[in-house]
Order: sequence, then C-alpha cells, then structure tokens
Amino acid sequence: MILNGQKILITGASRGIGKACAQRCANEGARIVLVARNENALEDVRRSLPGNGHIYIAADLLDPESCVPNIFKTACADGIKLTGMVHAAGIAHSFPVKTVSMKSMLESFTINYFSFMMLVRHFIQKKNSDGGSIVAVSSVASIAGWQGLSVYGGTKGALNASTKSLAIELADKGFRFNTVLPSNIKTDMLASITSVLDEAGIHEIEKKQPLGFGTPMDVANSVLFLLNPASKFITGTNLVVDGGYTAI
Amino acid sequence: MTDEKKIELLAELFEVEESAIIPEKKLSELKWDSMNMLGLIALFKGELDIILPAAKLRTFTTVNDILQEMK
Repeated sequence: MILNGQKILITGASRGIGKACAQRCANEGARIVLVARNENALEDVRRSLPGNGHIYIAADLLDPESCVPNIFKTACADGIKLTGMVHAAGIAHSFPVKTVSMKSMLESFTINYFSFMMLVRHFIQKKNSDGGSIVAVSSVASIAGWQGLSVYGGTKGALNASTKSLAIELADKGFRFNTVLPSNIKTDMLASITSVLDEAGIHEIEKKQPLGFGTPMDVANSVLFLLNPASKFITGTNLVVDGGYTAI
Repeated sequence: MTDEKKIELLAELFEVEESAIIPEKKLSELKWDSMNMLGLIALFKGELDIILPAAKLRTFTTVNDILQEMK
C-alpha cells in the first residue's frame, strides 16, 4: 500500500471530496485525522475506514485562530507526527455580485482560504511534522469564469497563488504544496448551486464537461497521487481535474 | 426591516425602479432567472438571516409571495 506509515490530516472529511480522500488514503494504509464540524458524521466516517489509528476532531474552521492550534494538539497527542494534509473544507456560496456582502465574503474566505493558511502555519511546526505533502482542494472556478462564483473563485484563486509561494518558501524544509482544481463534482455543494435549476439547466452544465459530472473519488484519486511519494518531484502545481471542462 | 427597505432590496435585485416592485407584479414580468433566484437566497440569508429553500422559492409567482416570506 502506497501510503503505509503515513498520517494525514484531512479537513472537510465528513462528506464529499474530503470524505472520499479519507477513504482513498485509508485504503492505501494511511492513518487519518478527520476534521469537520459535524461530530456524528465524522464518527460514521471514522468507523467506515479500513485500518487502525484513525481519529476525528470536531472543529469549526470559521474560527481558525482558536480551533487550529487545538486541532494539531489533538492530532499529534500520540507523539506521531503528520506526513500530509488535505484541505477539503470549503463553502461554495453562489450569488450575483449585486447581493455580495462583507459577511458572506469573509465567511467564504475564512473557510476556503484563511483557515488553510493557519493550518499550514501549524502543520510545518517541528512538533507536528518533519516535512510532507500538502494538498488544497481548489476549483476550476479559479481559472475559468462562472456566473455567481466571483467570490468563491476568488477564494480558490488565493489558494492557487499561495500554494506556489509556499512551495518555494518551504521546499528546503521538505514540504510540497499543490492544489487540485475540480469542476462539477457530484457533491452536496454542487446540489446547492444547481438547486434553482430545472433538469434542462443541470443537463446544460453537465454538457460543458466532456466526461460528464465527476465523483468525489475522481478528485480523491488525484489527491492521493499528490500525497504519494511517487509525486515527490511535483510542487507548486495547480492540477486540473475537470473532465475536460477547461479544454473546450 | 421596513417595507421601504424590502422594496429597495428587491428593486436592486431585479434591476428595476422601486416603483416597479408592487405586490401584484408577476415574477415572470421581472428577470426571474436562476441568477436572481440565487441572489434572492443570498439576500434572505444576508439581510434577514433566513434560509430560503430552493423548493420554496420555486413556488413564488408574484412579488407579494416574496414580500410575505420576508416578514
């Protein structure tokens, strides 16, 4: 198994892409630290994972300054350092700019971007890791325009940009930083965006992806590759995983 | 929230003069498309702290239906 001996922290692990990443990494032998808000859902995911040593930490990343130090304190309480991290927590509010508010922008940036930076700040501490691979789940909305996603796309663009600088800043310490950029993936998040569309509208979106809607596991497979030592020469990359959406 | 403020917000959402936002106005006569539906959901959450389910939103046919839900 390609992740034997690894210990990986995954945010947004109670559902969607984060949950799929947890399942995929556990299948490959990693111990998983699951992080999300919903404790019951986290426990369900933990119990479903193969292997031993998986734990969960219920935390609300809307307040990263107070919860992130506790996440790492708990994650490394067993004395075993982390070897990887996946930031899959995110919110995808979709709204036209005429209804934008500071509150909604701050909420989106806090979960999608600020919390990632705080997680990185703590992940790289000597007591928590000796290097490792960090993957942030971004979005093709960061490189391709999409009605109603100007704020969401901005949060994901910030992830892409910071990842490149982090890759340079921390390469000599043994850290790699990459993002994956999914397009329309069958998740609760997509359901909330398409909730106002009829079947024809949803079909229109699906048609924009030559390979159709993706699944959370499609994204998890690309994340697994970036966590895997086989990708040890890849850092600072924004890997598009979009079923051909941006190829058109 | 005052009735005046509600009218102001809906006029901004539908990009019309406030005088066009009257209770009996049919939404089909305004720009009632998916973007403005998402905008209305955001408006309810941001301004009124109300979660407006998409299923409920699809039942709206007039401005009055929206105004009633804003109470």
